[in-house]
Amino acid sequence: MTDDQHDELTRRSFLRAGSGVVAGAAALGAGRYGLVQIENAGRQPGRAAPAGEYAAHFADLSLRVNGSAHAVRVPHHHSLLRVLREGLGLTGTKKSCNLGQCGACTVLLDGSAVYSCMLLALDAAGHNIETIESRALDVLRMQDSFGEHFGSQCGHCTPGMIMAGVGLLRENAGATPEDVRAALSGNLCRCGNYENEIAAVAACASGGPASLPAPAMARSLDWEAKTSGSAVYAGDVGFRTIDEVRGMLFAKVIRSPYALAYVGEIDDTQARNVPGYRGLVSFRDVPGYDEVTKASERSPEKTDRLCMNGKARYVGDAIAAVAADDPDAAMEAAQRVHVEYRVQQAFPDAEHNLEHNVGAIHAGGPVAGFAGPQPADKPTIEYRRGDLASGFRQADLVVEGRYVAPIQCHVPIEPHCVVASWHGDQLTFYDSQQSVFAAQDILATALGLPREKVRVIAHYVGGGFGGKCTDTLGKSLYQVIAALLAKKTGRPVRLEYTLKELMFAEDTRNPMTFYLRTGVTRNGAITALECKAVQRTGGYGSSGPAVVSVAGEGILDTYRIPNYWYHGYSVYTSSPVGGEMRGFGHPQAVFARELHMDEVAESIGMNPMEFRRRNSLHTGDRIDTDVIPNVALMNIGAEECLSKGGDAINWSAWQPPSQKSGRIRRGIGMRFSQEHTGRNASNGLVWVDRAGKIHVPIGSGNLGTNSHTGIAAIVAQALGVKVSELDCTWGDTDSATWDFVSDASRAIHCHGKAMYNAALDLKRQVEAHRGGAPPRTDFTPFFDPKTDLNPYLDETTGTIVMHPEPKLSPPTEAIARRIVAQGGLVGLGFYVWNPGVESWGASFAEVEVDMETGQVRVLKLAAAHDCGRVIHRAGAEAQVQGGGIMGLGYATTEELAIDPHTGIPVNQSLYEYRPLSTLDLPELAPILVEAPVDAGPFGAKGLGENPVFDAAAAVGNAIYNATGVRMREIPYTWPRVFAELKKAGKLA
Amino acid sequence: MWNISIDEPRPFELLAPRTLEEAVELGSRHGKDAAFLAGGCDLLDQLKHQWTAPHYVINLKSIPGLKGIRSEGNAITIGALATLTEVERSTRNALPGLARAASRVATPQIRNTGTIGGNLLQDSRCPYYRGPWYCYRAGGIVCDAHHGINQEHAIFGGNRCYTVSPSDTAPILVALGSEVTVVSPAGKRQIPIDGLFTTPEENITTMHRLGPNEVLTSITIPLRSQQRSTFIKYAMRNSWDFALASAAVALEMDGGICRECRIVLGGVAPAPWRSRLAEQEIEGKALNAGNIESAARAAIAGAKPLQYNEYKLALVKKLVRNALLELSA
Repeated sequence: MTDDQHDELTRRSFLRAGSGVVAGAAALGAGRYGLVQIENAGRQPGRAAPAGEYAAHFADLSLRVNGSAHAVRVPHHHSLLRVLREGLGLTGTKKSCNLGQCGACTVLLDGSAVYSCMLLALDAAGHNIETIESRALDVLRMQDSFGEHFGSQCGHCTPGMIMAGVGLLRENAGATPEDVRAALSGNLCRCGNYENEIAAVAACASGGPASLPAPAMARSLDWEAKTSGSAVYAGDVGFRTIDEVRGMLFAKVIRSPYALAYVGEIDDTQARNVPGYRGLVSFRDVPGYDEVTKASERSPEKTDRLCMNGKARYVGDAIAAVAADDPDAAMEAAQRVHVEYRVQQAFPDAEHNLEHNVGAIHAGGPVAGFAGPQPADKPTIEYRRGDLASGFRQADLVVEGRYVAPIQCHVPIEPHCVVASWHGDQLTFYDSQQSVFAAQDILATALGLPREKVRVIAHYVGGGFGGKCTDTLGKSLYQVIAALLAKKTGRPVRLEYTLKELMFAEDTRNPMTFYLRTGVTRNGAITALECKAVQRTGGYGSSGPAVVSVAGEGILDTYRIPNYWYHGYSVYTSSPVGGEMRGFGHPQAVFARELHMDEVAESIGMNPMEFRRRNSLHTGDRIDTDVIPNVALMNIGAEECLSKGGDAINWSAWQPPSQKSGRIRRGIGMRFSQEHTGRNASNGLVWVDRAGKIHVPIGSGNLGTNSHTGIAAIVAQALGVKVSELDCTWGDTDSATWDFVSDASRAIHCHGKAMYNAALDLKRQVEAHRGGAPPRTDFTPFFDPKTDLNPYLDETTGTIVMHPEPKLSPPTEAIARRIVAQGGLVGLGFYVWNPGVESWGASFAEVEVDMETGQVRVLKLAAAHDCGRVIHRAGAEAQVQGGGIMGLGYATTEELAIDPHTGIPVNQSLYEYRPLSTLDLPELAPILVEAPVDAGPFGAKGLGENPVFDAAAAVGNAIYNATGVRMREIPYTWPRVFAELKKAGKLA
Repeated sequence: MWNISIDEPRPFELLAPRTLEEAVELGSRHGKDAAFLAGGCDLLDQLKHQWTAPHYVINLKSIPGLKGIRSEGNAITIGALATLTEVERSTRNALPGLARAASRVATPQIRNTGTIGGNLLQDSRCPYYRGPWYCYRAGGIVCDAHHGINQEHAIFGGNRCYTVSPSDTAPILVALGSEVTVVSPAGKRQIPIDGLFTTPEENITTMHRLGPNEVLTSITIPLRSQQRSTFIKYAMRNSWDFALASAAVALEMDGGICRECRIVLGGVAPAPWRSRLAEQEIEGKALNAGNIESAARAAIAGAKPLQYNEYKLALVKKLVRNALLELSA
């Protein structure tokens, strides 16, 4: 073969397609991606689509679990994990990646920690198996230690962590904290709660507790459920004999293996031969399919996406789904469904799509607007202030830069799972859902049902990070697929994601590229800033347009900038969908702007800290934008964050890169920014029954932030009672208090304040009752107009509502009326977002760079966060640590890489995607700063998201400080840093 | 077949032979419709993706005698089914390089179930090969990594396919001059471990030379009193990550002169990559800074980086330098 021929061949990609049949090999245009050719099915290698016989082989065996022998009949191919959960109903052992990569399913086999998902049940026979349900003393002791040390955030990794810890101490009773760190390195915790988990295990080692005092008051409200394995997550529903759900079917989604393809015929003839197969639904069964898709192709429409689509717009787009009696049959049936695809050229590059006004993905154009697809010349969002040209004329220097942020995957340890169950026309979802009320609204709308016919239950959620927030019709709506199958089959239907579906069929963090240009005077004043932001939103808008807007706030709202123009484009690409993820545009924007501001500071020879102080907004400064009209900033702790964080990294010793030499160099860097706390309104409801018991039906989701623990503390304090006297519940639209959503760092601040107001109202109601007043008939919630009534943005219409009426949402009013009718006393509260409330933070990183290889070691990450008031210290510090670790992954290892030729994600496993483990952490120094605001409960602001911004810019600036080379793209991986050092001629 | 909604195996029959003879007989009878199961870390991953869906899985764990680790005179023999945890614990004193390599595999849980035999025989981890792409190794006629995302691919020995040997224990076992015992229908044979691995040049669809009816039963490592050995691995994470590059070095010191030097690289070539050029810079010479640096430079001679993996040259240099410096101390 000649080189030319080889070259020609190597520019072509052939795919081993999934279950589909490709109708007519589609030879695609050469374009800038080279020739991409999809072979038709006849030439595909490997096993043909399965057909014919399909039967499991069974064995009768005795499994010894937690000291008891269980006689079970198991299929040969079932893992121990499946038999524990599905066969024995021991759902404390969690299923997550199911591929031996995360550790959630860790159990002990003869005392040694193993992944039960990667061990055949047959191979476990004859061995002693111990799970989190064990009553062994050392297991119980470890569970208690996890409670004492705030060892669980979402709790989904906790059972595996505990068993790994017990396994270590059985072998090494005197294990040191470093031994513990190594022993837990096979257990991922996406909440980043590693330091607490290590402390909890180390405290159980002989001689441990003395050296590692537990933080005071660390226990969360639900620590017992999370540490004992009794917490029921959506994926646990239906496997235990006590469950309400009986006889559920298992669903599998048929997803496009192509980045862009029209779907033709869908044929389940072969699937019908699979015993236990119950039926198929496809995009043609989705309510409103014809109207919505036609509308969105032609004209702006509320959503450009349905739960299943007839035109696949990214690899993993849902086309159809099957249900069967068990997961194996569902998978076999899914493999046997033939789907005809007409494959199109992929368009994975946002800038290309913008430049060429590509309409191949959505006919309306390449830009995702708030009202649907629009042409390339129309940005999704623009913010302007002052006169940009005159601002740049006033500048002594103008600095420009391009900054690139990648796709980040949420990868919570709990993959999304839903069980949809109909009772007549009533539909119940047991869902992995961080915002039950938003999900209730959206799912009812998508199914054409009245809201009150839909109930959403999510008592425990194994990490959300924005990925489990069903708050717009543009989300994936996998729940609707389960509901359609449940309707069709007349049985409850369970749909659970695989790791790959979790990674990229579900939404991700939007990758974004920023073009920044800033004018500055020699004495350090910013005169003008222009920013063009180009976001790959993937095949659908999802939250992309909102994220590109909020990224604009992230760029503009930290410094005094008299003249600016932000123009953001959310661009359709045939790649995974960018939805919302912890920080909602801020992590991207803060990374870009804070690298850029270091460059601006350097251009005028100013210390980066001094430059930030010089330009920072202050308390009382007014924000006045299209989104936030003329509001004064309430108390911000910016200066304290800068000074305390700077002290922690010893900023006074900062030296410019010109002072560094040698093969191994150290540097420090910083980032500084803010985020508006919360969005929209919250209701509050606290009530007391006739026996005097106080009930707190919390409305925010239990996704691991432990906001319920904080809210319980707020209510207890307001009422002057102990937390233990409260009956706290959450996670059910039938009984919880309405709250907008549980994202945007809003739970403690917004819902917490509404619950605080409700508690104050309850006190008055109790007094009135004692005074002989009749039961209340006025259900207007209490609010304090001096602090609580504010303008807010209605995100669905994009308009500002200056003075929303304090009013309960219908479900909460119904609950309140029911309580009163039954003789209870109810306190009602209200709160609406105050845009003058901002959480500020400053973070500082120290790194060591090997100038020979490009290896970057982050040595320390010090992060100071202004959260207004610390309500629950262990929880607040855990947010800073965990968010910091998630951000550190974003900075150093995490990137979902997309093959440029086919649009298919390349690193589809956790070991290739690389979330950080216990062994990859620098010294973490969380610093909590308190600048209280009247608007928040006891002064509290939001805290959940800001820590994610800590690392990317601080580490990037530290690398520059060490090397003198700017790294304008994350993650700063070994290959990338090496390439940049080489390009700059700085390799040792 | 690639389908991202699949994460459980297609039903198979688990066969439990009691003897090696029975196992290889089953392998002969079922050929490619069967797979041998040891620790299962790689096989179950492949089965759960249904990339392969054999009707039979032959469980080697039902055969007694494949597990132990024993010292016999001037050699240590490790049963192929010994777990990596067992290998790490029982070789710390005699073969610290091997213990270190075993300790760097994946995670504690995987080391508790994963076997040394499985670690040596695991399949390519190239994401293109394990994904939906119809690449050379999957039977097609392109290498998608060559013109795609290739940060982690080969700088040596690539030939149409640029995958790398993923094993952490292979480089050190090659450096230590190990032999492996293989049982086939024809009987038992012992071969140098180098002969276990293959390259794309020879057979692009497999990483090793064992047939479907052959079983690796043990690894024998000679013990030499003057020998020093070490292993260093560079990976992006310190847990559950394959080597971007690794180096294993074994040598003997004879009055300040280096003898019997073997320098073997992992993660940079389709098979463990013995760097004879680097060895030549050390063999018969003093282990001083100058010679070590010459060896480090020689170790990258002939490397052919792809678009995104030139950094591996720097990694190899640093690995070889640090490994030799460690042994010179």
